[in-house]
Amino acid sequence: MGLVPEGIEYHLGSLPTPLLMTWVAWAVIAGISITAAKRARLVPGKLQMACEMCFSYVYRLSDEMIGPAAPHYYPLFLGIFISILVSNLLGLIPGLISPTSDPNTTFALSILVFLYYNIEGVRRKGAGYFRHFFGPPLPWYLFPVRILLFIIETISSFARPFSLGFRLFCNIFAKEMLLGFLAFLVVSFFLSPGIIVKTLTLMPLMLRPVIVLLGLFIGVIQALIFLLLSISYVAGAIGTEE
Amino acid sequence: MVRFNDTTVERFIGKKGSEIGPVWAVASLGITMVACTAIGLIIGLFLDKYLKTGSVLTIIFFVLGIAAGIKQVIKELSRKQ
Repeated sequence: MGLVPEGIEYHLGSLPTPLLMTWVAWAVIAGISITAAKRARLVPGKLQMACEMCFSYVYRLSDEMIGPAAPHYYPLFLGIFISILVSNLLGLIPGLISPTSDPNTTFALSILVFLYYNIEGVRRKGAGYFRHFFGPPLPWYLFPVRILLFIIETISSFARPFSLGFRLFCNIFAKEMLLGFLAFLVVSFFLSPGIIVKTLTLMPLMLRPVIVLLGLFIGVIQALIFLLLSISYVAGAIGTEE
Repeated sequence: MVRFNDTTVERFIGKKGSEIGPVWAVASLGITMVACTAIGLIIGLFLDKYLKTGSVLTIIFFVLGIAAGIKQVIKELSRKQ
């Protein structure tokens, strides 16, 4: 998209940097998974422990919100959570950027979830899935109200992927921008003449670790929110939301 | 599918760990409101352009978008409670 001309760009042919970073995120996930699987023990180590924690958290959330049908959707939710989490945290490593700071990535994920839960709803309920768009049953003479409800429900349904993608993108993009500008300030203060301006380098240098911590927190929270909303949408579509 | 039941995990996240998420999801209700209004406006603009109805449908769908946003926020909040 070229929204951040100041951002890190790797010119590898015509390969867009966010795509390259997505591949890096996949490689990290694959590396961690293979290492954890190879070293799997009855008494878990640190890596196995972290993986098991992610797994059990996602499983429990799905079970709570979807119920007995939840195991069918575990792979989707796990995939979404882990890929977004790793992508968000990738930007905290100097020299790398979060693929989720690109709107194409976040909107692709949100549209995937939107299409998935709608298709799943139609697959499970057939044409009856669209009944909830018309609101609760009303007498026939109130059909204009039902048409109005249909329009409102359709608008709020189409707003879901928009808000899902936009929320993730805005948070991660803001974090990337802040970290980028702080790095830029450190360099420009340090290279400028005058001892007073040079001492100002300390300010962005001291602020950067705080923003990195905030980025870590935001990265985990945003992955969690995306996961929770995805589970809630799927639960709503298949009609098992508790 | 392998199921994990580790007490250490429970201790770390807390038995009601899933309640952390909805609290943060509430913090992003504003974006839902904006998204609904924007979608309503886009549909209105699109319909006005193709049906050549001036700006009547834009205004109607803009208002409906706001209504959808309010409805969605109320729905989310009532579910959280």
